[in-house]
Amino acid sequence: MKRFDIVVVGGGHAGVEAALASAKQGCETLLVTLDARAIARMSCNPAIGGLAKGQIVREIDVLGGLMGEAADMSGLQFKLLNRTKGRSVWSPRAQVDKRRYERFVQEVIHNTSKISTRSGEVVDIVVKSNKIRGVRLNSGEIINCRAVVLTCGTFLNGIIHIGEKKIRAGRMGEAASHGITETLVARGFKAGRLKTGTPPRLLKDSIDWSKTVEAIGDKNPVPFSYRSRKFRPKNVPCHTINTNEPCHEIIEKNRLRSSMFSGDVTGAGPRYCPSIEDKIHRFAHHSSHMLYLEPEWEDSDQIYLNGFSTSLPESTQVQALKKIRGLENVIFLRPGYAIEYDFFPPAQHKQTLESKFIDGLFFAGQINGTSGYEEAAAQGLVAGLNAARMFLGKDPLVLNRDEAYIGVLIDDLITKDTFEPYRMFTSRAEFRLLLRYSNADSRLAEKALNADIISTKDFEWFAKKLSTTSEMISRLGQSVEPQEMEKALEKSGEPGLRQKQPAGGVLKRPGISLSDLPPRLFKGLDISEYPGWIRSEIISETETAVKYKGYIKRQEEQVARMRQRGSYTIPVDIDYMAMSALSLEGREKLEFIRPETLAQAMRISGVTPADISVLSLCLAKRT
Amino acid sequence: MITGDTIVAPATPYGMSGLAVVRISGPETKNILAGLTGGRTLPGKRKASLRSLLNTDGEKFEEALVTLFYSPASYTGEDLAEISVHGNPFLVQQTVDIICRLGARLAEPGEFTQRAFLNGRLDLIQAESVAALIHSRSAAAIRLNYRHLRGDLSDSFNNIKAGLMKLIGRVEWWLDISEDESDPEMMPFLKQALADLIAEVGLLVDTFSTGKKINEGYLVVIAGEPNVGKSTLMNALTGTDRAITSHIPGTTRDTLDYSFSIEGIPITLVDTAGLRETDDLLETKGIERTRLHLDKADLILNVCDEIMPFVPHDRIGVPIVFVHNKSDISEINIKNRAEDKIHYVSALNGDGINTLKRTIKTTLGISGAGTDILALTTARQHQALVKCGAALKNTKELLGQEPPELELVSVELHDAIAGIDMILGKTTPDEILNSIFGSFCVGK
Repeated sequence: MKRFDIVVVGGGHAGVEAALASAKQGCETLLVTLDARAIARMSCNPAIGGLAKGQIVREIDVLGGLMGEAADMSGLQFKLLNRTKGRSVWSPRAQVDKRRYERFVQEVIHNTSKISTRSGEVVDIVVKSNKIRGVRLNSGEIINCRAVVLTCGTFLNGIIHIGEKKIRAGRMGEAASHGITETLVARGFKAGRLKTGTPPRLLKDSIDWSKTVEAIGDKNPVPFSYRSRKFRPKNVPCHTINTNEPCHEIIEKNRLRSSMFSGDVTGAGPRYCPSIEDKIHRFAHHSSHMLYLEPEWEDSDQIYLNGFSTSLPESTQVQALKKIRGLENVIFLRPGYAIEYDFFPPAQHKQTLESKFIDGLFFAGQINGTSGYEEAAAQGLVAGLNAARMFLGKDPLVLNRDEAYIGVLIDDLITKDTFEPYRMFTSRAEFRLLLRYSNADSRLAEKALNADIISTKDFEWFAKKLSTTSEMISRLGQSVEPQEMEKALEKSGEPGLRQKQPAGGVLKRPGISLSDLPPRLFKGLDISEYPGWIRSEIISETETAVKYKGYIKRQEEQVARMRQRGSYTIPVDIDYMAMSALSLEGREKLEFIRPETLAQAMRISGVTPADISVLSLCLAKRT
Repeated sequence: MITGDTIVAPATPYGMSGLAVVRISGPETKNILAGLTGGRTLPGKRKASLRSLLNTDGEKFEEALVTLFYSPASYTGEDLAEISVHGNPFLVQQTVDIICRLGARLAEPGEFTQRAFLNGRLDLIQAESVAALIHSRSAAAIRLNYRHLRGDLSDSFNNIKAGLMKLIGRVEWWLDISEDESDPEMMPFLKQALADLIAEVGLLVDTFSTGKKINEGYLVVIAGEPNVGKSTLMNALTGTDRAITSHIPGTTRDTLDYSFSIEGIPITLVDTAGLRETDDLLETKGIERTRLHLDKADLILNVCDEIMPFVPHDRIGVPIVFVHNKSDISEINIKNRAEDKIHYVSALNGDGINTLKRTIKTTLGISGAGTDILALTTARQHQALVKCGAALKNTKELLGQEPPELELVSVELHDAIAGIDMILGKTTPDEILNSIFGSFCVGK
């Protein structure tokens, strides 16, 4: 039988990136999944990216991951969100063809020689002196390996709730997975329960499309992946409709029959993605909520009703929706439902996503209490890569909070309590201005090269693009004459120049963009070899560097201070329970999480500033 | 000191007195108390109980009233005992020694309050006000510091923070969740909320000079030509014989100060050497000191008599009260000169002294002894609020731009919160998200 170095359990978005990252390190990798035909399946909404998530996809792409490329290949419409807001919150999102997406990814997996796939259910891990030695399948068969990445998604003891109805499943129509939770808990791991939900799927022809409002994507779309050089996506429209008071009445009347309100569901659900019954109850003064009709694939007869996540009884769902203009004759293909599943609080893991208790056991994705394809994929990439690098005896890849949303994500996971499925928001990043989707390459390309996950050729391409940008920035040190700027300044209502001035200073003014500056400044700087969207990105990054200079510098200074605190490491043998001056909650949290640095300790929820004073005094005493 | 051992200290000052209190705090408190009282049952929660105290040989040496506070309902948050013994310093020392032998150690200055802070019983403002309350030298200072200890100033900071959270919640919702491209209600809301906050922070920042003065006292300097009766005036105002007086010009060579209060307002009154040209080395030094005090004064009492005129002053912005002394021997008709705002007093027989005291008080800008103001009292509080205020001003500027860069507004608001956090403790991104989820309908 073939020997495997790394086994990845689960074939969702985390599992896929984990397997690919491991294979890139040259490790023999086995992907075990309940159903190999469902690899990379999008269980919920037919979209990739969005606010904060789009940035993550870009980061995954620079780190050699597949998600961006797959979305570019299967996108139905692309939109750069927040375009009228700040540059650091511009976020790409795409509606994608779910079928094309999973086909593309499955093909890549099957064409990767270092990855083998296998349908089966892993029920236990094999451990010898606290080190992973293999996994056991429900058939009893043991597969030997040196590291395991668990990416079981919502399948662990999954229960679907539709009103009073309960179904054991990992996804509608797919069996749940049993055994892993129990064996890990027996080994001392803590487990918890979360819930998430999904809206109904509607039959396309049962909708009166003439009563809906069309929503299309950008005319000049921006891809996620730097590798997508030939990018000419379709622009398939979505549509919107609005709920109304008759619809709200039905939902409110039946609210207690929803499994969320009846007490049937014990797991905590996400506040940022509330069910429709929750929205209507909590925001009773809103007489209408917008709903989105999204095709699940091109020419799909199945329509995803975004904004109507619910666990009401199916009959109530239908009844309420029929009150909505355009849905009077709606036919369901599948009702909305809530799903409850097990997760393992990720404070039990290290920054590499490896368990603190068992060497070689890694966790990624929804099993860590996160939600979202993007969050899962990012963890999968980090866990798979680090599993392989551990096996090879190489340094792990650790991303910091000021380097990537992925860094914020993992740091939050290992230091915070998980009360609800964790979703990324830009406001979680204290250095948001530094983490733009458009500078993911300057933040991460070198790290990716050093971790052997992108080729030298890819890196050189990034390096060239980045040096073009810095050359463009340095050209702004040249002066411009008053008459050269006259028209542009007048147009934006700015006072004219009295004497010549450095171009950068003029560009700083509100309403002035790079295209307002005289072209002679950039003579000999040819960017025509790049596709249009890369050219815009170079220009936008140049403008950002100038316009945000003061604020970027401020954040960089804060980063330096945080790094300094981060350099205070906490000895591993420290006994928190003996520090009675710590608050009880602080003591328990510190004992459970055992932060690696003082900076990390400061971010733990429940650890008070007073606890930090105590801790730093204790640390000072020891040295 | 943070290892959670048990500490002991006399809580009352050294000396003979009716009673003296010894305080113990820490995990060993109950065991120590059991040892000290010969194993008798411990007193109930907060119940003052009479107990015989035993020395290490098991001999009774004192009858004391013992009160035991059980963790966490105590000043420090730990088990804490207060032992009232007779007020003899040797007896107090003996009691403390025995307690130390039973496993406690002598507390460092301020350690009880430090523990109260570390255990979350007091916030930083309250901890600061404990020391300030103990050292208060006037009724106004006591009232102010008591209000701080009660948490009134913390409430003000919490209010400002709540306002900031509302503001940043709206901004973050816009940046982070809303997919709308415009919101006509947002900018007016932000501008109004910001203007309110700027006003609130500004008012509080301005209280610092008052708060500082209420704790440290106002510096009132008596100045004038030699032999106009400055020292006599000092004695008359303070009701003491603090300064030596004589008819010889230049009697006061060094500056003298005395702290007292006028209707609850703490004042440090300084008597100075008369300003004149002199060859006397000592007197010259005294005059130098006079000038130093004049530079720091909150109020100058400029004294003259019918022979010696007022000395002109070049200090701007310091209120000056002109005092014409020796009205008892002066031939000038006081009533006719009242409109000149010169105070005619006889420091010798006390005429006009009460009117002068009232003038001093009103000139210092304090209305009524019941100064129910809330004021910043430490440089730390002041600095933090100034930082917050500066960030809010930047925010205002950014909001005035077209288009307003709300992500930069967010950076400034985070800085403003960081200022408040220096006082109240750290704000986490989760709190901001909570504020968003609490007030907006989110989710597609």
